[in-house]
Amino acid sequence: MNAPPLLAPLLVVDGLSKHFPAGQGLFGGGGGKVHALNAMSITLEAGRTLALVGESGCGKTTAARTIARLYTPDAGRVLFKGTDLAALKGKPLKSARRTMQMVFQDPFGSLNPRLTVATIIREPLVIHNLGDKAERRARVTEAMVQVGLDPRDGDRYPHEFSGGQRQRIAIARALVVEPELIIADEPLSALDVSIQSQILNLMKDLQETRGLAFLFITHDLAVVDYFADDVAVMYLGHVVEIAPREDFFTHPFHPYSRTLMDAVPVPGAGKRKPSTSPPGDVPSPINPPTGCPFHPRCVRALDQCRESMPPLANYDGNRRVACHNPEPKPPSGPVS
Amino acid sequence: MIRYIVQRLGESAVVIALMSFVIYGLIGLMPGDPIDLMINSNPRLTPADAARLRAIYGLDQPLTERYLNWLAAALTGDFGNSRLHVRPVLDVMPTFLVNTVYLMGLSFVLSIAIAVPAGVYAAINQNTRTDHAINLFCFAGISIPIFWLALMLIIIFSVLVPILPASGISSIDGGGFVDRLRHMILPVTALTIFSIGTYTRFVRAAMIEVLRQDYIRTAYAKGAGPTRVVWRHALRNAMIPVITVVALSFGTLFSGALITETMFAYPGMGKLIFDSIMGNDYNMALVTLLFATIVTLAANLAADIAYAWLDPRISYSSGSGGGRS
Repeated sequence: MNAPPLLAPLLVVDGLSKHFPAGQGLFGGGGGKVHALNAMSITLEAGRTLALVGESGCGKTTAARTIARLYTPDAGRVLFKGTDLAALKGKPLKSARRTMQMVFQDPFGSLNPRLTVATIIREPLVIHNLGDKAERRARVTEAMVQVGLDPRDGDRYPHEFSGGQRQRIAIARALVVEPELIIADEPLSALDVSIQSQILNLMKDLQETRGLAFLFITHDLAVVDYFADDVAVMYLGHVVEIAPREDFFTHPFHPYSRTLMDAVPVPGAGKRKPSTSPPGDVPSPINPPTGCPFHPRCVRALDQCRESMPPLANYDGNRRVACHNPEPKPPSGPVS
Repeated sequence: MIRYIVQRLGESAVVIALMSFVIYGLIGLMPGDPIDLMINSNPRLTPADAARLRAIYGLDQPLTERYLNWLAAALTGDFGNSRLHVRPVLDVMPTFLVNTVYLMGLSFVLSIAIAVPAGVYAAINQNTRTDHAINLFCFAGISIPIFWLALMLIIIFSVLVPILPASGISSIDGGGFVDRLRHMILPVTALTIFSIGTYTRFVRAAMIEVLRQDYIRTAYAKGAGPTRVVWRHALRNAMIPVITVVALSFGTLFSGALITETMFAYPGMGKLIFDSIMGNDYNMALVTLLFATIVTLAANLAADIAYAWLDPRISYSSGSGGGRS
């Protein structure tokens, strides 16, 4: 891992919230709101990878799309290279987020079936009005080579490619504008396991050669362990823990992080850990529990947890946890 | 691709041959024949005369025999005379066909020109007041019977406020281009209001479906603005279901709008078919109905070819089917 440069962070997300109307009746209105994202605050430095982990429905994808301004946030700021994207619209927004690109989960749905691969990869250049014709062609070819595609396949259509190749196309499309940040929304989960590692290695190589920052959304902790510098855990729209990867894996503080970790199967007979998975299901984000949203399932819940949501606060040095009763700190000194 | 087209043309020929027999049979099942009409109009005709006439025209033979005779003549290009027009069928039809193509073509172009933007607009602004208004108009157009609409148009614009001619194709003194156009306004309006609803609903539904796709989100994520996303990414993908409906309605473009043409006494294919059936004009009815079949088949073939052109995933050449992964 590269040492983080001591500059202003590339991306600062500050108190970002996004709600969706829920239970729309025939004439609209009526139902409540889905609190998909509640006052999210994260920081990502250039060239680093922050993994956003959590169960399905915890708001990871909403977070990614709101940061990329595919959704208009209801509150909060998204400072990308010092510019608040949340306050921008139209043309200024378009140019401000040029160097922030997304890679989506489903490589079968995310490529327009009607356009050739070269057209798909070229389009960001056209949209942002970069380069002339020859230059664009050169950049498309370069991007295709970088992701391991044959540039001669540029005239073919997405359906002629496999899932892994399609995800390479999506990455090439993101690379062509020379981004500084790539938001990858579960880019591996639609792929075969053997292909997953290829794509993951590709992204890791790109990060090393081009100094890209990644906001990597996943529910696969093995991928996090391999790829991330920092980990942010989400539960029901709240970030409940942020930690450097090594610290996180050796000693998670939030009870929810602990249960996530315990859910990872350990290979080998007889090595099965006693189940600590939380009782019950994820509560509905339309009608979240009072206090800490995790308290109905939490083994460490206190009375206090039913009443107030704990803020994301510093804990044990540079760690941040949102919990009234976190796991005890490890004994001081190096953890082995 | 060429192989596919040739194969489809071969299939179409079989369909046309079958249809000619079916239509011939149906007309044969109609009560009365031309000789009955002759008897009605000439009381001095004896039953013996009638029998002799039937033998001359071959009407005493069984249906299959008569059909084969007709087919043999038709294959040499002889489709017989029209009883009502007293001229060869193929001489009469072109005038009516041209009239219909003007009428239907104009309303077709108009309805597409209005329906595509309206459908796209409704899809983008789904569930807004404008969307509801467009939907209401569509359902009105679909539900209002066209004969009632035609009558209302005539009453309003020809009787109450007599500014437009109620029927026909031109004034008695001939009239020029403007006169022809004035005669077309009411029928074209009726037909356009009638067909616009279906097209708009299809464009709207197809657009809503496409706008939900992941690659639309990808386009936004690239930084594409709404205009570019809608016209470049969404509309082309939404055109496939629309093409199907348009192609299916294309058949009626040449067979005419029977009710509309009758209501406005517009001498087009629809009125020609209607009159020839009512007047026991066998030869004319047979040829016009068969022509409608051919046009419908051709339109469907054109639609299938358009699919391949619009959607690279559709390929008709053998051995290079899409979807390999």
